[in-house]
Amino acid sequence: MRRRAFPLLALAATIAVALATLAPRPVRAGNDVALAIIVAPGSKLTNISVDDLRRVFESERLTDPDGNRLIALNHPPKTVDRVGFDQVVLGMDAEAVGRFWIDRKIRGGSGPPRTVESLATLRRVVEKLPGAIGYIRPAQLSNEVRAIRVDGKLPEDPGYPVRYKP
Amino acid sequence: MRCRFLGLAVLGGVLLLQGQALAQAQPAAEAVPPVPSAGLPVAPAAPTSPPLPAPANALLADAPAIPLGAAGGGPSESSDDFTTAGTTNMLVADEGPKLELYGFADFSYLHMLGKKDSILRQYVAAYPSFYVGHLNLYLSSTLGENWRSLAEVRFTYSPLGNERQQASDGTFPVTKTTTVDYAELQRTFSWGGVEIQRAWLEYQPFDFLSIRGGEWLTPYGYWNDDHGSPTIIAVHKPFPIGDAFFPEHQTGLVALGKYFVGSTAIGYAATLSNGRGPYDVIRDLDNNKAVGGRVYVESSAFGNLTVGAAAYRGRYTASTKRYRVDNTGAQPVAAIYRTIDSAFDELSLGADVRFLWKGLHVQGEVMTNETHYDPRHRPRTAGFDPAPTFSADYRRVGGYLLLGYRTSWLNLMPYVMGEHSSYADNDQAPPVWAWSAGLNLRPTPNVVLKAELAIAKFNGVGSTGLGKDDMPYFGSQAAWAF
Repeated sequence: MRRRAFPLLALAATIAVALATLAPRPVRAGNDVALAIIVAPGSKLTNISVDDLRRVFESERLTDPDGNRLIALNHPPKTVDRVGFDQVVLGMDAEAVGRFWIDRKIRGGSGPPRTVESLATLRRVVEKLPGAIGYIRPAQLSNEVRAIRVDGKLPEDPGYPVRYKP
Repeated sequence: MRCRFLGLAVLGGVLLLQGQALAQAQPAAEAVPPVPSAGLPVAPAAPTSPPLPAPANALLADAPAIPLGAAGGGPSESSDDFTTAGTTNMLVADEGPKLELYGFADFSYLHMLGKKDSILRQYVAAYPSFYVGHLNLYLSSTLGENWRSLAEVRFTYSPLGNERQQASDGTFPVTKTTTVDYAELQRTFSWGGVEIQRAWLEYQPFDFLSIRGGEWLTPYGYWNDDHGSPTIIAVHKPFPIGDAFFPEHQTGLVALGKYFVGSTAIGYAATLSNGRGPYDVIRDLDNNKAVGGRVYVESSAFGNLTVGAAAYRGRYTASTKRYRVDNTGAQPVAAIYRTIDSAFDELSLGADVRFLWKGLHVQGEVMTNETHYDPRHRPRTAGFDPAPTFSADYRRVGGYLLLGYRTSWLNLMPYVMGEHSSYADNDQAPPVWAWSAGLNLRPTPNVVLKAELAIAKFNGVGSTGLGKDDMPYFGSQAAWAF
């Protein structure tokens, strides 16, 4: 019995090591396009983890320190920053995102976040709507919104996680 | 009244879809050159980012976009009219809740292979057939800050063609629903049916707690949750899922939620329902409510791994309502009572695991269902044995393991699946092992094409010879979400 079990265990261990070695590293490093995560200037939310950011944009319900339900606001599908954001935060390409939401809705789950058509609207809604959270490029920041830290880092910090290669 | 509601629902859905289509069409028309990553001033009404060359995919199912008018045609930035309430209204609803209408359908081809005189082939589908299997419509609505409702109805051709019940003369009488079409000069058509698959109201007071009341899918494993043919990878349900070791639906209350710790989510569901019965969706025929639940841990530390366990405990009671007239008194008195035809307690236990990594998809469930009859209400068995025998207590065991890999080429997923069901509850059906291999092609997120070859092998013949021959078959399906 032991003689049989040992090769199986060895095989399982080898597969586990191989999988761990081949595991995709999160596309978080790099010096390409950073996306600032924005909230209203008066929000008490100052930091969010990548995991929570993913959950918010997967329509999981999370509450900010002000007690407001976080409301994700997305860019339109297949726009550059949306594709980059989905890739980095959700770990999915545009096709996979489409499958994800269709499957979610067939299971009876909640739908995807709302999309916002323009930067001006996005900033204004984030400023005025309690709990709203979105993403824009750092150069597009204005005094209507405030960038928060992601995993303790701001967009200009090295190792900022929400960066993608266009 | 129903027709009026349906009409409103369809109208609402069409309007909603039109709104979505218009909203989706906006960004392409408004596209401007790419926004540099730094250094340029912000244009007041620039699109969020330029679209990619690929055509806009309206089927990505995003929620309706916030209209451009909110920025361009709405109150100015200095206006006090653009209040929080106004913004909220813009996001949530115009007036009252919006009804979202969507669904899925599938069209299949089934070809039973093997011996032509096989009992199973003759019983299931003697000849290769095309059929539309599902046409399911969802009606979803957000009813307020923490309230949501979902209803799902399946339109089916059943009971047309039902020939399941054997008559005493050895025939299988078929159910015909053909009737006269009074609107078409007395020509004929066949009517079908509607099955309410689920209808619930949800209240979510906390991030980690939602409460649903109504009819819902039993929370166990993945297959029952995946539910719809575009989401399910294979063509047919594995035996233990189809044989309902756990009830597919229940009517009652379910509390469910998730709690997040880092990259791990701990989820749960606790259920209280009528349990199983001949028509449990509308009436419980005993005082014992069924309880159950599921707990699972989901980790995205490496790929996406979910491990869960589920349980269900309930009492099944089938009874017949009768009346009698008591003539012993001065005046006759009518009394209504019930005689119990069958009653048993059951316990179902299940464990499940799913691992997703890149295109890899591994999914498995094992489950057991143990039943103890009430000795006073043990039903007779059905079979060829003329001697009266009664159903024995039983413990069913079953499970399946599915392994697939989604390639980037046309989103093609080859898959293999092994499944087992002990059929301990039925002396006509011997234990079965089934193996299938197939392809799942998803050319767009909304369309899934499947083809599979499967064979079911029985360990024995069974009391009526049902397991005498293997049951090989070819199945294919086009499923789509709309």
